[in-house]
Amino acid sequence: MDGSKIKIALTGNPNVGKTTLFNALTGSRQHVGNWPGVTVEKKSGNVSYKNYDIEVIDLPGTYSLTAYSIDEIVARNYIIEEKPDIVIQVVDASNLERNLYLTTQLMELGSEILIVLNMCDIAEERGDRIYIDKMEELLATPVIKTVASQKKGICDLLDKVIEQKEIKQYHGHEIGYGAEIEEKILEIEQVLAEDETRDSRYPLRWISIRLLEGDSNVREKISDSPVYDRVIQIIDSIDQEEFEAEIADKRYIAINTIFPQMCTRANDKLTKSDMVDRVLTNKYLGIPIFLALMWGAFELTFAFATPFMDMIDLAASWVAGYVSSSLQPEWLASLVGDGIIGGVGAVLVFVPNIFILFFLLSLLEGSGYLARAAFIMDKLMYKIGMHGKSFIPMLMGFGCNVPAIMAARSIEDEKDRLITILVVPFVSCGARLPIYVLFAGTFFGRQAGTVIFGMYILGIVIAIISAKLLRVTVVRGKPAPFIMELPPYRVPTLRTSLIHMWDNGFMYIKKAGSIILVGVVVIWALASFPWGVEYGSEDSYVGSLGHAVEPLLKPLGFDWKISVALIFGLVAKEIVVASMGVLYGAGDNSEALTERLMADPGLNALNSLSLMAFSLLYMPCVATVGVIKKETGSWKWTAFAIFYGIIVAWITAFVIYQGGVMLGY
Amino acid sequence: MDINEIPEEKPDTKVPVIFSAICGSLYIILGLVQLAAGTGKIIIGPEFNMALADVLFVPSDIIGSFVLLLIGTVFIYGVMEMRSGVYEGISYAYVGILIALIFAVIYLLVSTGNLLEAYLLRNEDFAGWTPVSDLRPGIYLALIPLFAYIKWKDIFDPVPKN
Repeated sequence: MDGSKIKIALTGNPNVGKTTLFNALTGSRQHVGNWPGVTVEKKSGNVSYKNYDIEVIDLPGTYSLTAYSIDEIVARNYIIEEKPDIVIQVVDASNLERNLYLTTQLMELGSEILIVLNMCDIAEERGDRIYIDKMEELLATPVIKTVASQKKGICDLLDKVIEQKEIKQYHGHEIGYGAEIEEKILEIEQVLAEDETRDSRYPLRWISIRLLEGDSNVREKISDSPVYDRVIQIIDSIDQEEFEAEIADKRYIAINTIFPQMCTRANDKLTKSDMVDRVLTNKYLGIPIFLALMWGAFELTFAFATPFMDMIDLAASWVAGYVSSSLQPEWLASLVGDGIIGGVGAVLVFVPNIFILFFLLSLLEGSGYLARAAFIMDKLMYKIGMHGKSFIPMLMGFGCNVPAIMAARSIEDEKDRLITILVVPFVSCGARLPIYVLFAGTFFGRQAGTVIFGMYILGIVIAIISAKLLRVTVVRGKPAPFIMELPPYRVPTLRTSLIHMWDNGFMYIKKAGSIILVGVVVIWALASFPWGVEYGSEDSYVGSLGHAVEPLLKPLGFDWKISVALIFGLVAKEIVVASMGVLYGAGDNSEALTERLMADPGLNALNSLSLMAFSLLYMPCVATVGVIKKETGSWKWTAFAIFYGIIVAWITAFVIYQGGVMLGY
Repeated sequence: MDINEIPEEKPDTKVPVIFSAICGSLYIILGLVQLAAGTGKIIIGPEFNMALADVLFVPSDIIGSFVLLLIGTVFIYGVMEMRSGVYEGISYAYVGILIALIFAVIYLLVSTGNLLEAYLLRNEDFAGWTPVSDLRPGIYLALIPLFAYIKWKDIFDPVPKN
């Protein structure tokens, strides 16, 4: 029944809790983070309430509808073109004044608006008072209070949505921009109205204002119109910058007129959040504190996880022993024991590290600290030709490079965005962690945590150097200035952190049961054939493959076995470890694998360091390559990312290995 | 501003200054001892031994020494600000306490991992390990910030900005 369906869109400034509200409404588990720009694509979910089937769309955060970046265009186009029944503007109650700027723009769009005052708890704690009745009266829009993180006010919101849908009451709102601008708006409106083929979804007044503000996206949309030239003539007759400033000014005047009537703010006090910021963003102490905290996170990832790894190892060894001894014929026992359990087991052993890393990253992200990390790195980033905002996708890359590359959509400038996309694959993702844990744990003992931390730092350093190189060569230009809102510090909820940890950890386990499983079966087959050769020997197909590539990798200290592992690691980095498990025939026992790696005369601390660096930097995995193509829309840049990565990896590993040899290691 | 309104007074910073000075000095001194123990092991070799380091349970861990020095610096930075009359310098005492506690928790969790290896899994690498083996300045020094955090919570309550 169509009448019982309601489509609502959640919009609002970045980091006001739209996704938290979306999750509370729909019962979804979309990722939320305490920094602006977590949502870059619209997401949809459904909720059934009082015989209504309500479709909820979570739009990327936007400060205005000016469409400077891709995520802003996504949000704006959805509201205009899809015409949801109700647009819910989620407003941060602790930052009301700034949020109202978007409200003024949404009203001009002619949408049915409902305002949700979220984070009321923070505002109230600070002593702010918001008069909701007055706010509803002044904005002529329903206002509902919620604390989405605690699911408070959700039923009130849904009731109001249904009420709004049923009464079908639309309030038109207009801000007066003064005689001169209004005259031009009217002039453009009249010309546009002559075009009968125009897209009627776009309100004429809104298009006219946007054109006066110099919106290139809207300009492009009317470029096919027969009245286009006449419209442009009007626009060319004005001082556009002056008009744009004047329009923004008028909006702020309107906000400043109504704001004191609807809200009284507490005296400005030095809060604990201010105290923490004063230190963590200190120009001398900020970066050392960031590095120390990251080191602590990796130390914990390695050291605290070790007993849990050993427990998995013990349990799996027992299973492997049982399966191998009870399976017949011999080839099947080899496939299951050497291949599947040896390969997949070698990867699964690292599940505790992955879970701990994601839990810690989630704590850092949820607290709002990672947004500060971007802030303190901005000066350095700008100096080397990168946008400060790029540091957020880079930090997100610690989890997985795929969403990190997509997060670059929040960067307005195309060149800044392209550079960020090209360098994010150098940031060490969770998939590389098992390689470090295996080799650092084997060859560096108690210093393993520090070596792993070093690999993560190396990834960031190479990304930054690459950005500088790209900025002075193929992507010339200056980075755009960086303005970022620092979210308030919050105590991360255990539930959110556990969900984030589970979602990412489970993805790793799923990969072990799918792509890695296929990979290890292929490697096992190559290691077993031609039939009759010694398993995994140089005479097998895998041996031939390894020897074919070995000359290229020999200067880096790698033998044919490592070469094979690196080839298969192109599909997914975890396969490097899985391949080692298969090729060293260690069953699923990671301790046996460690012992065999130590016993291999071709392996030592130096070439394992070189191997870790090469694995970190060489070609991104298949999923990352796919997202680079999607986000750049160019095969040329995708190919560049692949080959540039391989070259950088080769040079870095060469310097480490040959440098170490020269120093006598 | 209403002329009859009495401006809110900022609390006295004497206690946080003394606390930060003591805490900062201890962290820096033990950080330097740890740095000496770590570099000595690298330059001279595993036979290098510092009696002072043994007495104070200081490991030969260079990165860990930087962490101690960093915590100490945060406290001392606060002392300098507060002594020059900037009340907001109290922020450094507050954050110093938080960072000291965060690292103490990290070290305790690492130690818990080792405990499981030694007593539950009976890992050969941990033969002879006792909880005292992991005792280090990052853990025992944090008792002072912990005490301060519990005792002086009110000191860090919101106050009017300068």
